[in-house]
Amino acid sequence: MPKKKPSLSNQVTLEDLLKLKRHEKPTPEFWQQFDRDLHKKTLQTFVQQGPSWRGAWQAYFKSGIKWVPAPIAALLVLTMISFGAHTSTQMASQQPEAIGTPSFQAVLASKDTYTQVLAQNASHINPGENTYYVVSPAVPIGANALSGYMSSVY
Amino acid sequence: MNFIKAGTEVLAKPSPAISQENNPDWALVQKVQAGEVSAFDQLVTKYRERLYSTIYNLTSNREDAADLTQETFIKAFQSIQRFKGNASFFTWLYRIGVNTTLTYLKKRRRRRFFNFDALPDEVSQSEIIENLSSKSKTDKPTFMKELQEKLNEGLQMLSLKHRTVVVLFEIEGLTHQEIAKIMKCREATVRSRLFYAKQQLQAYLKDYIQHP
Repeated sequence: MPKKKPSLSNQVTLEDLLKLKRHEKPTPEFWQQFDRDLHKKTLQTFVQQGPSWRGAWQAYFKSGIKWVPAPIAALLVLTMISFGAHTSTQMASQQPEAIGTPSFQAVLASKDTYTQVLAQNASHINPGENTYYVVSPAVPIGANALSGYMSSVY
Repeated sequence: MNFIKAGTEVLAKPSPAISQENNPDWALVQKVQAGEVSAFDQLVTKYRERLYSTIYNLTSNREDAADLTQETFIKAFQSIQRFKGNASFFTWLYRIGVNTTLTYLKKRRRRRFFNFDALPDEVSQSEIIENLSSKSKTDKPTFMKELQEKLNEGLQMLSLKHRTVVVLFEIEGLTHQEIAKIMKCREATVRSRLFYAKQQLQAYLKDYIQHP
């Protein structure tokens, strides 16, 4: 419990005190950082919005089930490999359309400050002018490795 | 998250009740919905300070407030296609922000530490501070720091619902009607929560204020 203080005033009201909190404001530098972070998070959000099967993967790996029928496992591994190869091909083609989600394409298609800052944030990935990529790591082979890959990436 | 989604969907249902013809926000929203993302920048610039202020006063932590404000804008951007204009954009955005913040605070109820934005020097010259600090034994900067801590402690002592009403009404200056829409409750409930919350705060801050 805070220490009891002597009575200080018989004029100031609760409303007056609460109005003081209106003055607690951040500095202009804060807003610059805020904008940078917002654009970065916006980019991350759209990049992380992967294909619809991602949700199924997450549900599967969070469920604790440690086995999967062999034909399905084989199919999944092949799908992952082909997805990785497809992504690599798209990266090599150096086309902005390489980004998968429609929402992200909409962001990139617009010549606005969002896009510019998003591009700046992404430029460390691949600094090519007007070219933005999502980097997909190589898919490790093996059930445990695949599980680890999906958990770490998604 | 379903709570937030439900909140945005309720306000997003089509209704002709509110005319949006001359509403500049609605024009910007329509541009965003048509794919002009830069229009959303204008909405962010217009509301970021007010939204941040609300969330900051709910959390009393500037880093949390910045993160939650950003999260709110991202959620609003993702949901904007569902916004049909039956409420003002401001109310819709605030609702997402308040719900996001309350969900966050419920999850982290035990972790309570403050990180304040500084009070500007001009405040030290205000009549209230002059009045109060003249009767204090400590110097003015120390007194202001103590008062700021006490105010924030008082707010954090309130339940989330009571704190939200106090912040939106007394600090942000919203009307009972606006608060009722944001919190999805009756105006009478807003008034009663406000009355109770102010009683609590008056008791906690009794050394600084006139007793009613």
